[in-house]
Amino acid sequence: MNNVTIGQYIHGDSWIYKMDPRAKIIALVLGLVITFLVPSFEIMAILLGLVLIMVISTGLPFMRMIRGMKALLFLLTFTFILQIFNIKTGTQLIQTNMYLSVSSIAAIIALIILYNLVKKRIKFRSIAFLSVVVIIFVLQAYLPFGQLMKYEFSIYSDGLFRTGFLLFRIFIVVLLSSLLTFTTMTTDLNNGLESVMKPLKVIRFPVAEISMMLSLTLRFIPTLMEETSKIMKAQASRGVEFSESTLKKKIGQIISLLIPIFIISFKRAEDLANAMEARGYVIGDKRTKIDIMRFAWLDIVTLCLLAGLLSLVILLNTGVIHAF
Amino acid sequence: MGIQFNQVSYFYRGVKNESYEALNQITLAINDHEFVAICGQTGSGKTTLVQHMNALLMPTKGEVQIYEHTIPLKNKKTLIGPIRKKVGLVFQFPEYQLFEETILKDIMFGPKNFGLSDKEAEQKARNAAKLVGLDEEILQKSPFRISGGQMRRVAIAGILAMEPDMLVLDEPTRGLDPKGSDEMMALFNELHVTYHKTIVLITHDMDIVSRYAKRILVMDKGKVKFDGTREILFLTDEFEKLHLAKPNAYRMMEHLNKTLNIPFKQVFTEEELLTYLKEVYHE
Repeated sequence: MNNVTIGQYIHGDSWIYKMDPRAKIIALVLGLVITFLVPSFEIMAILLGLVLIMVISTGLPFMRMIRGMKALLFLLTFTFILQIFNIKTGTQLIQTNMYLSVSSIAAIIALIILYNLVKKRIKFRSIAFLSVVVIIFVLQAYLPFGQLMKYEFSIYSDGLFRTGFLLFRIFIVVLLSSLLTFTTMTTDLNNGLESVMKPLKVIRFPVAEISMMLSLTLRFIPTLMEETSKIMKAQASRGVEFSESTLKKKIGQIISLLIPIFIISFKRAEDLANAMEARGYVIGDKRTKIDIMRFAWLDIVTLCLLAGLLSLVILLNTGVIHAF
Repeated sequence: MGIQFNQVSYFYRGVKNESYEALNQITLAINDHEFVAICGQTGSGKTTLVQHMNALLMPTKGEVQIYEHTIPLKNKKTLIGPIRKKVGLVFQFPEYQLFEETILKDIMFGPKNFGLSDKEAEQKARNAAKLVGLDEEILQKSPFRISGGQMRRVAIAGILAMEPDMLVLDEPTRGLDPKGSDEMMALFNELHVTYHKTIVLITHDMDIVSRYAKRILVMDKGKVKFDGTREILFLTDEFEKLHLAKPNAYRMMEHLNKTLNIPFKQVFTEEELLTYLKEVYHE
């Protein structure tokens, strides 16, 4: 429960906190566009390096940010394996024969069972998970006894580059977007979004409402997490222990979590709506702001830098400039 | 038996990876058939302490002995569930944990989790409902269609139906009106006197503390600052530092002593004050 870091604001006072929220939102959009336009692995690696330097310079707890991304691990491993198998261009790096045999299948099953048994006691669970995946392949290569099927396993340089490229891209996207939510308070985010999307008002797009909805959603993720862990503890006191019950029991027990959480979120929503109305919030009405946002030099410089980077990447893509 | 804390510390992890000490080397024994009140300011570690009492939290350092089990568990095969049956923990605003279609079913949830058959569970649920003063006809209603005070009774009945030896309550009277709060406390007192249950409760209300609790723990910054009876608590030199109020009757007595020179005597409830004043008057 405590590993989820999305939507939390971490207090600090480095340069990124001093930026105008509008500038941050535009910068995020530009950054994402750049990430998706980057043509090659080398440039993506440079970009990742730049992003990492930026993250470190903001003074945010880096390790904690990384830990918040644990949920991505499974997805990343899966893409990695698929890509490695699929791409067969470029120079060949490794080639071995893999055997799906009685011995290797038995060993893999034993390994998975062993992993599930000791899983709870391992400290570095993600590292353990990765090594299990690696060992599964090693086992297939070295246990040919009682052979059932044989296939060729080869890694090509392009495969490695392309997967690295994809992994880096996902990583950058997640880092950049969490950087915005970590360092911008919800009210600022709301104001910024509203202001950035203002042009859409021409086509009758409910800008203010959408931005309010978005920021409320973000704001309530940690609150609901907290409520959930409270309810979990309360039901644990009534004998709900997920790790100790059978599957059939678990289904019934999940209901004992879901219903209270539903009720609490509705109650919260109602309270919030009342509190907003009590303070004079009317949907679609004109509102004044207490903080007037101003672009500072920092914002202009950041946006210019990013715009420059974007045009560079576009030029690289269209072939006007050649890199490497 | 009961619960024994042995040099227990607990750390919370903060946003920036710093750790925050919620409990600081607590050594404490709670014996059977006690009525203990835990007081202290917000953030002093009361809730963290009681969550150790039924193994919801594992101590970062030290050991908690809950009846015959030692936490953290030495033997990995021991299940944690049965420990929670021994010590029933009622959280703040327990009405939020209700979820079943009918009140009866909700009260049955606990006993059924501990492996009782439907019939046995229903019997226990009906007993618990009677104990907390819920009418028979209300049991088939939805738990979401009754008043807040009733909901809290249902939630407490849900814990009582598990027949725990010890009942731990986190601010059970919070958010109740004075009448509801009195009734709730009378219920816990009855459980203590008639059914010999051990009661541990967190509260800020010094009237409740001084009326019912046989033993008072005062916590501050993760440590137990005071452990003793009410007679000693209000006379200790450090009382000012504990940030507690005195009960109403006690304050009235102090005032009468100051203004009318009535000789001071420790009184904790309005009734005691009244009988004492009658005594003084008749002399």
